[in-house]
Parts: sequence; structure tokens; C-alpha cells
Amino acid sequence: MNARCTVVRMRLPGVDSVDDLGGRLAAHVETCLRCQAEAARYRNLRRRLGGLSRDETSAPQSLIPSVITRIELEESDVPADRRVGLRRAAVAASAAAGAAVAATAGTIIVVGLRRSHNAA
Amino acid sequence: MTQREVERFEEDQLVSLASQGDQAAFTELVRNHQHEVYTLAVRMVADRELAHDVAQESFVRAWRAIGRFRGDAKFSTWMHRITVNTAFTHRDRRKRTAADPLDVVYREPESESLSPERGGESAAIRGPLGEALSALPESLRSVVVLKDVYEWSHVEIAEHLGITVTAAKVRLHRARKSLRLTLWSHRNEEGA
Repeated sequence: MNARCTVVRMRLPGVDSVDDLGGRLAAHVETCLRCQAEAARYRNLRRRLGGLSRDETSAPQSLIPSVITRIELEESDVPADRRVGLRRAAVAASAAAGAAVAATAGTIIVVGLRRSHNAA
Repeated sequence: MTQREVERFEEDQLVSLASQGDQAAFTELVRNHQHEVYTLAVRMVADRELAHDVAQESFVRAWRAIGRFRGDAKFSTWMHRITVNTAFTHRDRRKRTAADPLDVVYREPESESLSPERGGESAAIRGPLGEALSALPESLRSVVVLKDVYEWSHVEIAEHLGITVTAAKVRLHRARKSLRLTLWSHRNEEGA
């Protein structure tokens, strides 16, 4: 093992391919069986780690119910301005209140018109 | 909207409905993504019970924020980011709790919580690679998982972990070197 082997071993964990080592070191790996073996181990490691992306751990059955419970608790506890459900209810309520105000105003106008009509 | 109705919807429709406050649509999203979110949580914290808490909290945070989800990334990508952030919040909380000597006495070691003897682990955490990963310090494990399993860039990792890009690269270097030494030590050179 020479000085280049030492540098290659130091740098291999931080690169994604031998080419990333740079010209001289990459060229050294091409001629050094020990460094090729070491590069192959890191390539194998990266491939195995990448393969983990296809494996999934089954979530516990309690996960979904616990999420639903938390969300329902939040919906009933958090301030109104952060509560989506209540926000929608508030919009509906304000629309209903607006309609009620409009209806009341209409009644007042109609009554006022009738009074003025009767007075005339 | 009933659960049966939302089961037929595509993901973008579910996201759209959920962002308008439809809990059934959001529950369907949770159902579709629970395993990948839980898997990422397990890989980040290396503790199944804590991973359950992280996954649950991640979905609750997603529910709170889904009105701001713009859809320029996939929902799963967005959930991954939330899960990573949540895992780190839990880690910080756990560190603060561990400062209490009583908690230290009764806290289970991480590696023990992942021992195959306790059963039920999947390929995400079992086997020589899974064991080597779970034996890494959390700061190294999170970086190598995000880079080599989930293909995040150094910049993304640095942003989400609150570290510099250089620190992310240094941690990746240390993590890979440690895994290599564990998997191809002189003793198990053949078995790795």
C-alpha cells in the first residue's frame, strides 16, 4: 500500500464514484487491486443503502386511529382561527348571520314603508 | 365525504379535498402513506415506539399545514420533509428529557429496542446493514439515510438538519466509513 492508496482510502467514503476522486487518484484505482476492492465495498454499500428505499416497515395498526384522534382533539381544542372545520362552520354561520341581517333590514324597510304608506 | 367515496380518488384530489378541511380525504392520505412515513421515522430515530410518535405527529403537522401545500412537490416528498423535521424535534425533546437523571435511569438503550429478539422488525431495520445503521450515532445515521437511501442532496440535508453543507458532507463521510468498517471488518469480511 503506497501513499496514493492511503489518500484513496481516506477519500472514498465521501464520494459517489471513483471518478469523483479526480484524475490521478482515479487512474491509480484502475491499476491498484487493493483500491479497486475498497472502492467495490463502498459501491456495494451505497447500492445496499439505495435498495433500502424499496423496503417498508409496516406501520402499527394503532397509527391511523391515533392520528384521527389527535386531529379530532385539535379540531375541538385549538383556537377558531386555526381550526379548519370551525373556519368552514364560521363562514357558513356568518353567511347565515348576513342573511338574517338582510332579512331583518328588509322587514324594517317593509314595516317603515307600510307605516309611511298608512300615514299618507 | 365518506371514507368509501374518497377511496376512489386520485392523490391530487385527496390533497385538494383535505386542504379544504375534508377529514375523510386526509385519512385516506394517511392510509396511503402511513408505511413510508413510519419507515422513514424508524430509520431516523431507530426506535419503533418513538417512530410511532414521530409518524403520528408528522401527520398531525401535515393536517395543520395542508392548506398551504402548493402541490409543486409530490405529497410523499412533502411528508418526508415534515417527518424529518418532526424526528429532529422529538430528538431535541428527548435530549432535554434525558437531562433528568431519573429518565436516564429508566430509558431503554436504542440498540436494545431494535434487537431482533424483540421480533416484528422488517427489512428496514433488520439484517447486518440495518443493525449497522441503527448502531450509528443519530447525527450520522440521519445524514446517510437521507443521502443514500432517500437521495436527498447535501443542500437539502443541510437545510433540514440545520447544519452547513460541509458538516453534512463530513457526517456522510464518517457514516459510510463506519458502516464499511462494521460490514467488512476482518471478522465478518466473508459474511458482509
